[in-house]
Amino acid sequence: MKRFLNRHIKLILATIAVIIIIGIASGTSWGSNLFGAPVKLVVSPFQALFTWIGGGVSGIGNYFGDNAKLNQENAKFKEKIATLEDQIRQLNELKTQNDELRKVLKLSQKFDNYNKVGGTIIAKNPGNWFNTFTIDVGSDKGVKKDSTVICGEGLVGRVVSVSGGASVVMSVIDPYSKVSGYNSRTQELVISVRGDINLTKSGKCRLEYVDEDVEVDDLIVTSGISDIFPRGLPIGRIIEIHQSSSQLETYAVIQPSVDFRKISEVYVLVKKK
Amino acid sequence: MLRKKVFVYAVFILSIVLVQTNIVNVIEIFGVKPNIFLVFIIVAGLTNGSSTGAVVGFIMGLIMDSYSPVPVGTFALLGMYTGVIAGISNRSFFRDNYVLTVVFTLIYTIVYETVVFLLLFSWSYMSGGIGGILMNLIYSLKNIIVIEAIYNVPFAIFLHLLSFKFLVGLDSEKKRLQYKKSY
Repeated sequence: MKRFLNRHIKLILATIAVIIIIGIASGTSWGSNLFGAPVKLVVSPFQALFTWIGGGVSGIGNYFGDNAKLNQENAKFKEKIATLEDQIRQLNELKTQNDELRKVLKLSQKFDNYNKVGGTIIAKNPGNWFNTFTIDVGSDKGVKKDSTVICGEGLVGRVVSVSGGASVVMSVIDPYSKVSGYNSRTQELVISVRGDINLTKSGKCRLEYVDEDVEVDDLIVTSGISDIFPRGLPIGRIIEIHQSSSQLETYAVIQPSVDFRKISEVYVLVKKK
Repeated sequence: MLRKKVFVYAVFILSIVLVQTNIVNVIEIFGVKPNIFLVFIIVAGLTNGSSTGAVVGFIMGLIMDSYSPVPVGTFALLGMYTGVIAGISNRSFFRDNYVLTVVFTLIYTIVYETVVFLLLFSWSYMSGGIGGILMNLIYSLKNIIVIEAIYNVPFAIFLHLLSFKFLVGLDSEKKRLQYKKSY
């Protein structure tokens, strides 16, 4: 024992030091940024450059497309614009309708309190377990820890750590993510939408404590109970229910509205002052 | 010479971070990507010994922490142990043989990721008891861990060759010549 202690004294001391640092860091808000921030500060400019070069290279490729093809495409696009304009008119109608309905639901007020800050994904989690990614906006744009992140299709996740020009977002399918929601069909509260390591890989998550009222194809939206997420953001639809003898083990699989494989641009909801 | 060593390692680490967080996402197999962070810690430990392995492991672990929703230091500790264990193994084997690197990477990846599962995720399956944890572990082994271990091998060989070109004997010229003779 004494020999072991003598031989590995450095390792043991280092372990104790790190554990103390973990203890201090996990208790404070600055702690989680103590080491993360400098690393991100060094790495994120390179990552932004990488992403930029990637975009540039594909841009050069497009340059050499021949003229005839472009003309053909031009005609096609003009046609498309016409149809799209028509659709916009229809959508505007729907929008006014929607606004009225929102007023009825008193939802609009809640979203009016937020600014949308657009961000591009510059890096993904290095490992196979977590589903987090780094975006190129940080505290300089007012992003804070626990800010909600969305995209056109619905809820993406929340910010877990922020530094000067970058922040790390944890998606709803991450095994550490927990969101409370409600069933939009039955208007009933469902306890928790959670990530699961065995579903993360295929881009799905699970719904726990499922009761008889939940059915396949129900849309689950955020409940707004936890203060982190505003109410009414779509999370996803239920695609299958795993029945089990005990209620604890009965769960449902959710296909999120957002496709986490293809996602590249997101919006962070920042509270207006 | 130490300054040169730090510089060369910094270049290696920075490029591995960029590759692991960007390019690797494009070359996933069955939705699983290789863990070049882990491979580099192993290679650094195997070729340059425990203390170098521990420092490299700690730094790479810290970077891993900054991308993950875990308490800071979790992966740093795991990385440090990885470096030390790899460094201890190099005393008892021929270090310039890449077969050792391959076998070590294969076995160690499986052990390491199993430990990560038990440490970070097993509590979320507590409701299913030990059976539930085991079932999910076996599922993860089959669908993530073993694939990752196999996928790590080509990267281990590549980094092994690179490290013998650039990383070995940065401390002293004598060591370097010794390696050159034996290699």
